[in-house]
Amino acid sequence: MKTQSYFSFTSLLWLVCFSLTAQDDKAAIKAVIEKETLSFHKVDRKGWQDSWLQVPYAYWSYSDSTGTSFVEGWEAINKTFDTYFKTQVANRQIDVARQGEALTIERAWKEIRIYNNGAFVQYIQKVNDKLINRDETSQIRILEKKDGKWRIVYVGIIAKYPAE
Amino acid sequence: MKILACLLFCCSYIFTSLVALGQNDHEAIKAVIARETQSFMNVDRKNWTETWHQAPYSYWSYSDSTGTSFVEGWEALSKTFDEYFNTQKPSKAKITNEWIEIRVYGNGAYARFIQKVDDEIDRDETSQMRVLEKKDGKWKVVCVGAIAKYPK
Repeated sequence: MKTQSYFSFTSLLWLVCFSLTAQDDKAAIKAVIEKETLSFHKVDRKGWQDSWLQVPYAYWSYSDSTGTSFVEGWEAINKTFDTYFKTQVANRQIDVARQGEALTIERAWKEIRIYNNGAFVQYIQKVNDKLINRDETSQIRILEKKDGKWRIVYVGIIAKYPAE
Repeated sequence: MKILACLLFCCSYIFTSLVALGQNDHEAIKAVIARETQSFMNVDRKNWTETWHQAPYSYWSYSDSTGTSFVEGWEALSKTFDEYFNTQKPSKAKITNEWIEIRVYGNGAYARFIQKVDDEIDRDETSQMRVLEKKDGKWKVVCVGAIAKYPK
């Protein structure tokens, strides 16, 4: 009887720990995705870079009514946004100059699947900005956990076009 | 000495088995991705359906010069291709996948590749990604992303 109780208690403890870890992982994954998007919009290059796992297999893609594009590898991704991070602060009113107002980001989380040290995330994002009418986008992220931290390795963004 | 030799043998056996398992996973992942594309091109609905993990979080997206689209959930996804599977004829196009990366995370995996479709009329190149899950020992697709760069 004692042995049975011990095993039941151990199983329950294990289940609780496992469940808490999964919850922690999900919260950490959401946080790093939010950080990546917000730091990008705030033209905060360091914050944005920190949210990525800077590896040769990192990938970024974007598709909307104006075109489609994809970039392979961290070096190329980082270089692609050189102009954005160097010019947006000085030239445009959005983001840095108006950090306290206007820009809000809404997310509807669809799915977060965790596989050991990898995760697959789906959500719908809407950026509300007084200056630009932005599309609602369907977003995909793949993340990897390294040294206890979740980082992004894949960004896929798509705005439905033609709109229904 | 005997214990040390035994330990070395065990370590080497475990390492070799892990490498072999990883290789098996990579091959199985490539095979199911190739089957998914080929059965789609062959208008073979049964095979195409079998390559998917038919889950509410299954996802498909495609973007090229004509537009962008995405479908969420297996039911919607299957319905989206009703017309295609009911009306299209099998394609004779040659498909080549140039593998860029396959990352295996236990029972989940992420794969990226460049796909070249070559038929008598045209040649199309797309950057593709897949997310797969292993269930009952079999890898199945849960996410498809395909994008053709436009403007070139």
